[in-house]
Amino acid sequence: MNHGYDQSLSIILGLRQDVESEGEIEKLKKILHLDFQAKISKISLEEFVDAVQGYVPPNDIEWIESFQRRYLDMSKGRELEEAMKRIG
Amino acid sequence: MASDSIEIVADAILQGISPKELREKGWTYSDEGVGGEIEVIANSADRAAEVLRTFFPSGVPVNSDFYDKLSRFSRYFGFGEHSEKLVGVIWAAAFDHMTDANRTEMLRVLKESENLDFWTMIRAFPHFLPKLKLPLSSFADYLFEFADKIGPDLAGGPFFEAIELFAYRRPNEALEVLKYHLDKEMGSTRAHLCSLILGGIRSASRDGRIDSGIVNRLDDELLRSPITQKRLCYHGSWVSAFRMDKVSVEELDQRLQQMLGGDEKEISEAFRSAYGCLLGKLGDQAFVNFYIRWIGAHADPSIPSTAKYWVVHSILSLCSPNPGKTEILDFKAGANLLIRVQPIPYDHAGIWRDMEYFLVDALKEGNETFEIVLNGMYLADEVNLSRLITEGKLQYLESEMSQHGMTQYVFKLIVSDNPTLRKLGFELLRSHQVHADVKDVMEVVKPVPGVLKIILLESIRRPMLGEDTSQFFLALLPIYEQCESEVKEEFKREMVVQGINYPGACLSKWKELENPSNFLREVIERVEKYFTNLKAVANSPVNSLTFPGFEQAVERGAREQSHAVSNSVKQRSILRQFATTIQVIYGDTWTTYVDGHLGKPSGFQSISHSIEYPRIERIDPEGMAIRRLNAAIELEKLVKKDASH
Repeated sequence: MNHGYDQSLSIILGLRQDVESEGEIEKLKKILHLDFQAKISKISLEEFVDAVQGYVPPNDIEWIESFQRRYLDMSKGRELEEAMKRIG
Repeated sequence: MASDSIEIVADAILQGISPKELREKGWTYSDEGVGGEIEVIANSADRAAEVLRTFFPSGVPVNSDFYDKLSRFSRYFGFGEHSEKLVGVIWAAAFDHMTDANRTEMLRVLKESENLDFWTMIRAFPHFLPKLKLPLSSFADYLFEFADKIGPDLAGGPFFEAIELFAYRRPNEALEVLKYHLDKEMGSTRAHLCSLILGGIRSASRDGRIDSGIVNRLDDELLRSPITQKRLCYHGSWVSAFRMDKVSVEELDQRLQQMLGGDEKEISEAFRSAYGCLLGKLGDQAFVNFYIRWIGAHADPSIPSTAKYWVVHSILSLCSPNPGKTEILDFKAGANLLIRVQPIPYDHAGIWRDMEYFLVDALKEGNETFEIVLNGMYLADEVNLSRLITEGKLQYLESEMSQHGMTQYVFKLIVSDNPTLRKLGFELLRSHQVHADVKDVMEVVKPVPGVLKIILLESIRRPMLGEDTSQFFLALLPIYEQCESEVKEEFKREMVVQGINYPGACLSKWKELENPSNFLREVIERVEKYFTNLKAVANSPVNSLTFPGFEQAVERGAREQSHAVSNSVKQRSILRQFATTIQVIYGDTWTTYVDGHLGKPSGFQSISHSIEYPRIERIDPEGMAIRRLNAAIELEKLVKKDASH
């Protein structure tokens, strides 16, 4: 196994509203061997960001905040889209 | 040996004695003496016959030898008025003694032979054509065929001048030639020919050499014609008559006004005609003033592109005369007139070429003049000029600019209140025309927080390549260091970003500097910390984090970029445009196979040029686009804030 680890888990990150991927993961689990079914799961991006923000030391928090601003703050995205139309 | 210069030279030509050998034998001549001899030949048929007998003892040949011998006079008397007149006069005298069939044959030889000094004979046409006798249809057809052969070549000027002279001196015959052509299909060459003939006839009528009623009826017929080329023929004839001093400036003005009331081609003809009249009057200040007023009154963005060409071309002639002559029109005034006809379409290369020459001449006039001219032009036609600068289409200007101290000008633009001029400043900086010198920059840029904020935001919005970026930040560093405000910290953060973005052109260069300031030292430390941290996580499992299709997208992106770079290089490389590209599958040598022989193999030679790619643009293109957009938004807010105060 890469990186010298004994075990691994597959984590699918997706938006909370993305219910379709949850259905797909459940379908996949059903065809997996029982031992591997618990090795794949989905975490929403919103939960992931909240969790990381809770653990990251204050000095290193900038990256996760900018991730949150860029990908999860839709109001910022809309603002940029309008500016792009205006400024060109 | 004969006694006068012309016969001595004629004899030397016959015997194959070169001009140098003749001079070594003690031969000299004076312009005045030769001029007098030519006058005698021109006015005395007997004397002309004597010269012909000396020159052609076995009779005038009806083949190319005739032109070959005749054109040699210029080697002895120089390429100038004397040789042209002498050739023309002897030519006319020789044709006087020929039959119509031989004259026709000789004109055919001149037109078709490729081994003749065609242009020497063309220069002699004004002294030959007015005396040429031929049956109408042959005469008219030859005029057209020569005009067609000469085309737009400026060296053909004497031929067209000869047509005007012929029509002026022999107006009744010219009228028949004109009618002959007017009955034929009217293309641009024929229309030009007709306009010259009509111009000559019009001039003759002003001197009472032909009934003016005939000319008036012709004018009326042509002006009312539904065929544009016929109307153009009428309009163009006024230029000929004006050049022959038979039309006043007031009358010319009325005719130009008439043309402006016509269709697109007639409007263009008005500008072409005005320029045509100007050419012969560059020394006449009153006419030059009239021309400038006329252009000022009628040149505007809506005129046809061809008319714009004549405006630009004429302004170039007025502001940038030949070396040694003083300008007729001040560059700033010239620029104002050029600005009137903008925008100029991007793909009108001829107009832009003249504009580029104008800018180069303005640059040679002085930096201040150049700044006013370029700023004015850019503000008037930002879209097209910006495209030409960024695509490297103004290479002559670029090369000239690089030889003049442009740093202060460019940084004046960069700190300008006008966002369009700031954009021009960054475009010039990016196109390598400027070496950012710290001293020059400090003269122009003052440590005022508002100004520094604008420069910083503009630099984010309009990023440059590695070396330009490094130079830009180093030039501005001492100024930002003096400014005790938030913008100083923002500048530091931006330097860190660029150090990470260009570890070669920025970080390595900055580390090489002797005695860096504390500010720069801190920037370098922060960038190095980033790279140290990066190394530490190089093997982290977090690098396995990906999303579906990412790998394929990266590969496709790299391929598309490679194609784009390759195409761009091909477009900009003259060599690549001439040469054929062959994809080599294997091997490292090449050879040629010519006429059944295989040459010796030679090794490939490689030529390469590398440029540092901005790392962050590659790693996070979306983030960089957002940064640029955010900078544009902030700039917009700053401008609004300033406007409200």
